[in-house]
Amino acid sequence: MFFKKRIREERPEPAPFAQGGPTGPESVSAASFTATSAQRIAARPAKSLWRRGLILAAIALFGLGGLFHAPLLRAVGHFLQPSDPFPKGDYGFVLLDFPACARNFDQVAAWAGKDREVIYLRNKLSRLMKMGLEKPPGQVEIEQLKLRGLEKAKIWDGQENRYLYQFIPHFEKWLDENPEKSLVIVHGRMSGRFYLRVLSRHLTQEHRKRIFFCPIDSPEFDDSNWYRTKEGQSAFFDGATRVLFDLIFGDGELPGPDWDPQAYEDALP
Amino acid sequence: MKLFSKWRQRPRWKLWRAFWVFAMVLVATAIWGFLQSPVWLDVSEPVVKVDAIYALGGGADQRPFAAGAIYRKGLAAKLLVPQTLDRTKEREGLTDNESTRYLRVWEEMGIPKESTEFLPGAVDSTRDEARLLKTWLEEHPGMTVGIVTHTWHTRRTAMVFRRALGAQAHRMHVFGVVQDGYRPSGWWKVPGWGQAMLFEWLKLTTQYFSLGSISHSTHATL
Repeated sequence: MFFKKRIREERPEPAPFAQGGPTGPESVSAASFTATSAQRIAARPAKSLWRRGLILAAIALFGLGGLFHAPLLRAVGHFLQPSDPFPKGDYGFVLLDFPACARNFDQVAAWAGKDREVIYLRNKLSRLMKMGLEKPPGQVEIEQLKLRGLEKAKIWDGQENRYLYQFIPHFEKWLDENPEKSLVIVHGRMSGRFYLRVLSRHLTQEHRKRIFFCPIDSPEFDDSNWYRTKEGQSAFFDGATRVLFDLIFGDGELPGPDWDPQAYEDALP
Repeated sequence: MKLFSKWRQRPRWKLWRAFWVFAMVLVATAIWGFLQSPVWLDVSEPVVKVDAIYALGGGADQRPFAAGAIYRKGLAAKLLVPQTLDRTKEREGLTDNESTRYLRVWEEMGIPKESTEFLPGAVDSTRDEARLLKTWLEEHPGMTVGIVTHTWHTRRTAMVFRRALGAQAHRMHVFGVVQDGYRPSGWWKVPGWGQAMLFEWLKLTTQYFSLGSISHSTHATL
């Protein structure tokens, strides 16, 4: 009732029709109608104008979003790809989420020259790898880099490690053993922000200062067209949700045991 | 309209309060629903005797093993694998095609080559896989198929295949296999699992609304 009353109070009284003229809505002249409408608009409450403004702003925002979707999406994708200039002193490379293809091997070989170390982080072997049906992680990458003359390409074997934070002791050891050198993390596009967060959380300030990031293109997409390819969209989604997970849970918890094919077979009818 | 006008007559703060309560209930339900994902997304059936097993791509560490186990138990006479699309790594010869790995697993499990069948088609999605199976079922009338995939993919798989197979959908069964590292309690705190589940929801939603375009797929060559 209170609300109803307020509405009634805010609504302006309709203007009276011209004296001596015909009465009734059908016979309102164009001049008197225009005058009445103008009065009504002038007397419209401020909140109605606000609402209109908000709707117009939303339409404008959608329009601009549609028109400038490409630079907007590029900017969003760019957030997930930290990129630093190469350090001034000597440095080595670490490949993380590295998109393996001939072009990228050539690129890393060009960056590293003959003397720089290139390191691949090997995590837990899959079932197929343990059976020898698939090459273990990093074997292809190291073979390809050695083919291109990088004799110092090597693997940090993490045994049962699954996650980057479990490799922190390897980073610390290398940085302590090479106090004059830095490490450049060569990462697939969209995953760098997550790695930056993990390394920043676990490494000391001194060590962290010697870590640099360098994104590398995937064969399927690059910085400018990721949103047009299925692979790029998947990588973006993965990178963004990894950062979100990291924000909420940090390193998270360890997974459960592996599925047992023999137990599965035994349980079948 | 009457109800709407009654709502409009309420004081504004009451409307806002109702809106926020509704929004909070909605968010709480969404979170609760998300945490129940592994249960809700799993519509796998108990394994029964079928004529062939169709192992979907995307899980070489579990799916071919489960398919092979079903075969070895005598619950299927044939194993089918779709030819997956070659990515750059495969095109450049840096690694094998996933379907080749499936066949190698079956060879390792002692399954004779005559019992395995490679369905050519360079598939890139579950929809493509459904199209391949549809053609195979048309060529093999009266045969039944058990589709092997991960447990939380079963809801989407069942939906996609049911729509693709149409009247032939009664000839398929969906069997689920658990992925390595799954823990029923607190799975969302394990890195990768929350993302995987979110991705599955995203795919389920998009495919639910766009399945009409199943014939528009460009990768599967039938």
